[in-house]
Amino acid sequence: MQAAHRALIRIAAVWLMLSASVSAQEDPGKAMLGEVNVTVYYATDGDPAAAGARAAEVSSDTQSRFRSQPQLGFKNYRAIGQDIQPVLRSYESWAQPLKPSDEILIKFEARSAPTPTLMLLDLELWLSRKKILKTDARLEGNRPLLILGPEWRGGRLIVAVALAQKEKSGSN
Amino acid sequence: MNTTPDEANLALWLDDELEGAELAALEAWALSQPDHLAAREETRCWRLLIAGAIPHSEEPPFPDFFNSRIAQGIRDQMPTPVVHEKKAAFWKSWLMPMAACAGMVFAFWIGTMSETQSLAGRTAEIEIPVIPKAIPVQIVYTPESGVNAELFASDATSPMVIVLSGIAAIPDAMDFSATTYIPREREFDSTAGNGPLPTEETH
Repeated sequence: MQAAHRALIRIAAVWLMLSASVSAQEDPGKAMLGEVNVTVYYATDGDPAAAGARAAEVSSDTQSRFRSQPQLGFKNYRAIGQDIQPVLRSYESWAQPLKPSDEILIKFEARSAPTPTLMLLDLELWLSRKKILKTDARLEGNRPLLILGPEWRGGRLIVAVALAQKEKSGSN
Repeated sequence: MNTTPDEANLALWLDDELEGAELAALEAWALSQPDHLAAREETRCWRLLIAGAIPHSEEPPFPDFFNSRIAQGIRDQMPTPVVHEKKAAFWKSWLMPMAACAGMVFAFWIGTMSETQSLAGRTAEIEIPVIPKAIPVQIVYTPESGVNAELFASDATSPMVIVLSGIAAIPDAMDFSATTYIPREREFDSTAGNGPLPTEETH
């Protein structure tokens, strides 16, 4: 009797999974419009080793680009996390660049149909599970949105939001 | 007959209102009752005295009847006003509805004209070349109290920078070294933008 019950439960579970997968495939709202790259940098005038041993070096081009902005001028930069999430047609997406920590979260969704070089997003920055910033981002191929965020270990965190490039040049 | 009469008959006898056989019986009884005879005489004297002292008056019968007859007599003597019925002008029978209809049509026409003019005014307002059309303005909103965000928009090629102030610092004890994905250099360089550097800054 119990074996029959287990068989029925398994059949029902398989049927639910199949129906869910079919409905997901049929949902046009889940069509991917592009990808967004969210990177968190640690910027400091002090010792960059405070970011931890696993923090990655930043190229000189990127450092120059940061220093070209007066608000982002620091002596040292380190990359401490990154997350790439798709932009869906009808659904919002969450980027969690410091996984598994949810200290910094970026929520975004498309505002309009994107072009190959331009994407308009409704974007929110969440810090410590609180919505801190809401803005409409205009992301272009080489024009990211840089947010100078909270202080941490004597420096500041910079959240960079940009369109993810499909093909990496690898020439930086 | 020596039977004592009852009180009611005795009272009627004293007032001289007893009649018939009862009066005869009581008179026969009273012959042997000098006190009662004296009382009846005294009652008669008092009745005569009262009748002489109180003036005799009599209300007229049916006063309302007489008053109504008097009022009717007065009305009969007054001249009756002659009512001259004016015959309505023949054109009033159709002029009034026609005027009402004309008024309604005029009011409807005024309403349509004012609506047309307002639409025309709106169109003209939209077409004023001075008003800018759909200027994209980036909105920065900070729902958390005490937090401010300032947007620094440079030229078309430099990145947009938002500077947050008033936010709480992340505790130094918080360690992000366990982050599962640390980007390699060529990956996050594209995040920060690899286009041409801005030539000028506008705040």
